[in-house]
Amino acid sequence: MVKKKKSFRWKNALPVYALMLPGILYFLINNYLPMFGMIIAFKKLNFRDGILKSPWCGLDNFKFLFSQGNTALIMTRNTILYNIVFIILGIIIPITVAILLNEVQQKIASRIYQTLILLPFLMSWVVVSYLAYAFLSGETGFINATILPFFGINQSISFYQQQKYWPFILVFTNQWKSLGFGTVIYLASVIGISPEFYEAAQIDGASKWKQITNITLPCLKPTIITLTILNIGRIFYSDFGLFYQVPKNSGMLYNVTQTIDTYVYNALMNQNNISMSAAACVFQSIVGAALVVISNQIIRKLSKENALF
Amino acid sequence: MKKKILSLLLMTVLTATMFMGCGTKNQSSEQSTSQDTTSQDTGDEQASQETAHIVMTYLTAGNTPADLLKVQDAVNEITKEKINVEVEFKAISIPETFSQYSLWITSGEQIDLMMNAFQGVSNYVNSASLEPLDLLITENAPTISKLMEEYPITDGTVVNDEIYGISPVLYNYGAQGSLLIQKDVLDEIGVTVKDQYQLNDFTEIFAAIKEKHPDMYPYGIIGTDVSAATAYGYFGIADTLGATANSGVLMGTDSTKIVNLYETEDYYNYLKTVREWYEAGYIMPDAATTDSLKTELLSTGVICSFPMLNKPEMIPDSETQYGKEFVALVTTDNYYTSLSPNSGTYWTIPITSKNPDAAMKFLNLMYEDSDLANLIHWGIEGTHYVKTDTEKLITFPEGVTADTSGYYNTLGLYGDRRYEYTWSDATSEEANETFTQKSMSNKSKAVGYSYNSENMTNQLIAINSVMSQYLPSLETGSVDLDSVYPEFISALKNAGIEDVIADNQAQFDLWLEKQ
Repeated sequence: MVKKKKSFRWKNALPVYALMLPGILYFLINNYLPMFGMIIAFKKLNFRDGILKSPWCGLDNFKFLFSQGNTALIMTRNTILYNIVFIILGIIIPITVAILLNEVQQKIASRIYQTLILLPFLMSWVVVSYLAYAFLSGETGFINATILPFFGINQSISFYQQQKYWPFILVFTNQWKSLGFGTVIYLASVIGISPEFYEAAQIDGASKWKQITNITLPCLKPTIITLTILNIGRIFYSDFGLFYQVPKNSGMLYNVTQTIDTYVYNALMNQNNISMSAAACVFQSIVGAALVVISNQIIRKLSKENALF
Repeated sequence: MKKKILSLLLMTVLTATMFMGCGTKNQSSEQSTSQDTTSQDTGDEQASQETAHIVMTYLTAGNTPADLLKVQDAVNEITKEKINVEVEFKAISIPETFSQYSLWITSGEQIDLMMNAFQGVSNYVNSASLEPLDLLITENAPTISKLMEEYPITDGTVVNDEIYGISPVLYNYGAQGSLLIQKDVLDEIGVTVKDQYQLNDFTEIFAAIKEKHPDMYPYGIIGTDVSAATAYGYFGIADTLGATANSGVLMGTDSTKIVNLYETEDYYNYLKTVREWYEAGYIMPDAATTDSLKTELLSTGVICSFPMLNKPEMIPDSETQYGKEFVALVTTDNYYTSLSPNSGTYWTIPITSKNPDAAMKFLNLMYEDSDLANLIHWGIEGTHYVKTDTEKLITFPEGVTADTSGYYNTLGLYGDRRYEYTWSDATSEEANETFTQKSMSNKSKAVGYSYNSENMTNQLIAINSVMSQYLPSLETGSVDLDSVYPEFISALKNAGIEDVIADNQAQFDLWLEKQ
C-alpha cells in the first residue's frame, strides 16, 4: 500500500545509516573479528602449524577447570555469591548515598563529599591492597599494633591465615572502592528528575520519605535495571585485583577468596598455554551471555518496557 | 521490509568479513611457510656470500646495560671475521621472558637464539615452538658436540629423543644442601662450624640467636620462595626428575622408586620442625604472605639466614648480592641429581629463526672462543673491566663501580664458563674440581632422565594449584600441622598426583631399561 512512501523513506535514511558505518566497522573489527580466536579454545595449539591448522581437541582444554575435586565448585560458588552480594549492595548503598548527597543544600559541601567518595575509585587495587595490609598485617598492622592493644587485647589476629574474616573484608573493601562510581551514576539520574514532581508532592503534603519512595525510586528504576542486567552479564567474572591483590594470594584463604579468574591465573601463570586460557575465557563469556539473556527474559515478564531487548 | 534489508546487509557484511579474515590468514600463513622453505633452500648459498644477521636474546636482571650496543659492535667485529655472522642483542629481563617469549613466537618475530632461563623447554616443545637441534649441532657445532660428550649440557632438554636446548658449561657440577647464615651473628653466639648439620641442630642455634636478638627472626624462609616447590631440598636429598616435586621424587640417590615427597615421613618431620621454629618465634609471623625481598629483610636485620644450595661460588656470590658475610652450614653430602647437571638455563632456537645454521655457528663460537664469551659477559677490556695480576681475575677500572659501569651483568649464560674471568678468587679451579668429583661419586640413578608430562597437563595444573595454596603456609610453619597437613595430602590426591607418579614411574622404568 505504501510501498512508494517506504522506498522514499529508505533513501532519506541512507545518509543517517552511512553515519553509522564507522561505528559498525569499529565493532566488526574490534569486537567481532577477535571472536575468531574462540576456536583456539577447542584446539591443541601448535605454533608451527598456526591457529587454523592445529589439531582439534574437543573439550580437552576445558577439563582443567573442573579437574580438581571440589575446587571448581568452590571457585564458582565464590564468584557467584560475591557478585550477587556486590550487585545487591551496589544498588542499595550508592542510591542511599546519592539521595542523601542530593539533599545536601550547600553546593560546596556537596562537591567535597562527592569528591571524597569518588577518590578510592581512582586508586589501583595494588594501592588498595597495601592500604588493607597496613591495617591487617600480623605484626605492624594498625589493627594488631594499635587498636587491639588499646582495648586491652594483646593477642594479635593473623588475618591472612584465617578465613572467617575475609568475606567481610572483601565486601567492605569492594564497596569502599566502588561506591563513588555508583553514586555518581545514580546522582546523575536523581538530579535529572524534574523538580515539578517534588513540588506537586510537597503541595499534596508528602513527607521526605514519601517523596523518596514514590518519586525518586520509581524514576531510578530504568537505571537500576540496566545496570543490574549489565552486572549479571559479568557474574562469572570477578575483579582480579580484589581477589588476588587484597588477600595477598594467601593459600590459606583460597576457600573464601578463590574465584574463577584467580584460579585461572594461578593455574596457567607458568604454563604459557594459550588454549587453556582461551577455554577459560570462552566458558566465562558463554555463561555470562546466557545469564544476560535469561535475566532480560525474566525482566520482560515482570515489566516489559524496562527490558533491554 | 526495511529491517529485513538491513539485517540482510549486515549478514552479508559479516560473512564477507569472516571470509576475508580467514582468507588473509590462510594467505599469510602460506606465504610465511613458502618463505621458510625458500630461505632454507637458499640459506647455505647466501651464507657464503652475505653476512647472516641473527637476533639473540640478552637477559638482564632488570636494567639494560647502557653500553650494550658498544659491546654488540665489538662482538660483531669478531663474529663477522670468523663465521660471517652479525648478531643483534635483544635485551629482556628474566621475569619478562616467561610471558614474552611465547608472544614473540606467536607473532612470528625473528629470534634466532633464545635463552630459556629457569622455565625449561617442555612447554615450548609441546606447542612446537622450538627447532630440534641434533642435526644443526652435527653440521655446525663441533665444539659443542665435543663438550656434550664430557658434560651434561643438554640434559633436561631431550624430548622424544631430540635435543632442544644447550646450557652453558658450569664451573662445577653437583650441589649440596645448606643454610647460609650471617657470619657476625654466628660469631656472636660462639658456635664453631661442624661438618654437617641435622635439622634439630639448627633449633639450638636459632634459640641462641633469638636470645641475643629478640627482634630478629633467625630463619629467613618466606612464602614466595616455596610456592611452587619446596625448601625440603635444602635439608635432604630428593631427585625431582627434571621437574618439580609435583610429579614425584626419588628419595636419596640410590632409589629408583618414585614417591610423593609430601607424603614421606622425612618431609613430615621437616614440616614439624619448621612448625616448632615458627611457634618459638624463629620465623617471621608474616612469612607466608610477605612481599619483602630477602635483600631487604637481611639488610634491616629482620632475618639472618636462609636455605641455599651450596656450591663453591655460592658464598662469594651471596656476599656481593646481599652485602653481608656468610657461613654455609652444610646439611647434606654432595650429590648430583637429574636437576643439578645444568643451571636450568638453555640456549634454544625457536621456529621463528630466520637462520638456524648461523645461530648454531654463533653458539658454537661462544663455547669455543672464551674471548667472545668474556666479551658478551663482562664487556670490553679497559672500559668495563681490567685484568689483575692473578690469572682470570678481573676488577673494575679505576673510578668505575658496579653502579656506574656501563656494562655489568652477572648472569653467566655464555659458553664455557670454566674459561671465564671472575671477580673473586675464592673459587679456585681446584676447589671446583674437588666439588664436582665429590658430587659425581654420589650420583642419582635418574641423571639424564627428565619427565615428559604431556599427557598429564590437567592433573599437573591441579597439583600446582594445590601446592601454591598450601606450601607457603606449611613450609613457613604458619599453620597448624595436625589440621592442615592431612587436608593438603588429600587435596594432592584429589588433584591426581598418584596418576602422575604412576605415569612418571612407567616412563622412568622404560628409560632405565634403555640405559
